[in-house]
Amino acid sequence: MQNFDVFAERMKKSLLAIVIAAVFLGSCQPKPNAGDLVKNMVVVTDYDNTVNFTQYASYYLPLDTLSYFNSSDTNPADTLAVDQSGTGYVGNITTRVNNNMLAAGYTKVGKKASPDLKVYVFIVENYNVYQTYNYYPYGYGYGYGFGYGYGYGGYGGYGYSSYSVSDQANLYIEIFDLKNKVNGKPKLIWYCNISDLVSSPDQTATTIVLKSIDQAFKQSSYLKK
Amino acid sequence: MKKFFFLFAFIMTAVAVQAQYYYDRSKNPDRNVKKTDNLTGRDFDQYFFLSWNYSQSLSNPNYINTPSPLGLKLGFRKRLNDVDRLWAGGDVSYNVYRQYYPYQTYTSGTQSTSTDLYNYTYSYSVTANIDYFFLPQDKMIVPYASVGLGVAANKFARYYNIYDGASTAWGVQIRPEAGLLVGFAKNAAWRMKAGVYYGYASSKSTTYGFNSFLNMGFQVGVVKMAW
Repeated sequence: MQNFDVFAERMKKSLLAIVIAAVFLGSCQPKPNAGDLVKNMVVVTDYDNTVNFTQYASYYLPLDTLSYFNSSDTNPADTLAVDQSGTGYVGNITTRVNNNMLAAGYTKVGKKASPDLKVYVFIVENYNVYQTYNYYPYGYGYGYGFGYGYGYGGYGGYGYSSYSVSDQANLYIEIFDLKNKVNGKPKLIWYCNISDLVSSPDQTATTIVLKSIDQAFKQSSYLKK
Repeated sequence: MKKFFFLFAFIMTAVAVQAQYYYDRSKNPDRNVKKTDNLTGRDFDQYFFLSWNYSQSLSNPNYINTPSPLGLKLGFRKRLNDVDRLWAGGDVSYNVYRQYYPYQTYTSGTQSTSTDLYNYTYSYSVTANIDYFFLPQDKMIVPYASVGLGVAANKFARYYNIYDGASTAWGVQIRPEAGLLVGFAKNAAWRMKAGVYYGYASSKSTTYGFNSFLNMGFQVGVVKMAW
């Protein structure tokens, strides 16, 4: 009987130790609240600093479509998202990009009116490999074969050693120079990457997405006529 | 048969009493009872504690400069000598520091990035400790000085939107500490522990450009004396 009491006492102590250890370890790696993390989007812009953006006067931008690349799409050829009403997800995005281009002093013209610039808007979903990005001239980019991911150099001098990214979608806005082609190909002179669309609470592109587009142009003050 | 039953019952009762006598360690005649046992008969020669840490990261203030209430320490001590002054043992502790940076734009070369972000430092350590108590443990208030030497792991992490980046740095941990054990009675089995400490960890993160990790804080905890 005494042995049982000793055993019971030890069990109680072991249980207590396990509970304390569980509390101790369980509370030692908290993370930010997921809802707080996606209240804003990450907006990255980059540009070719050899270019004088005041030399351009006009641009071409379709308002009713944007390109959409999804790795899980069963039909790889289907890369267009169409919004003929102009007030849906696509229309909201292209209209806001257009408004910012107009605000920057450029004039919107038709494709056949020899625009100086081409504004290309597209969404990429579910590509999770690192993107190699450069300013070598290439075509408009339809059917891009490269994957997308993240490897920004860092903020304020800090770097990053690892990234964990699951399902995500990025909105890209690119501006090509049609006026000064290199080897007959348009030259990419400005680039914007906005993420993440999947986890954002703004699933209709009416608030955070539009605010992020504005931010892209705001932080690109050189982008003006 | 009746006589045998009464004899058997008497013997069993005596054995039970004797067993109970020896089960109470304070009455164990084989036990070497110290002078400090005058009040309770308990000669504590080890203790366990769990304390809450409130601390401030002193290094890398551009990364995190706000104090943190997120910290715990588990510890064990065993008396080393009969005069009740020198105790040795170990601690396992962690502190988590975090700071939110509102939405802003960071520019590097031709690239600009706008985001809000959360910087975190997870600081873990395991140390071997030596404590010196300035008074015997049977006093209600017992001041002490301590030093811990061990291993530190500091994980520096940054979270923004759905992304995160982290770097874990290992180093040597040195932690001097001073404080009090406060009992609610003389030679109490349960006590409070309060102390201040300074921590140095040689954890170097080349990713973040940090050469070490320093912190300072105070702790309040519960102590269970044992023997």
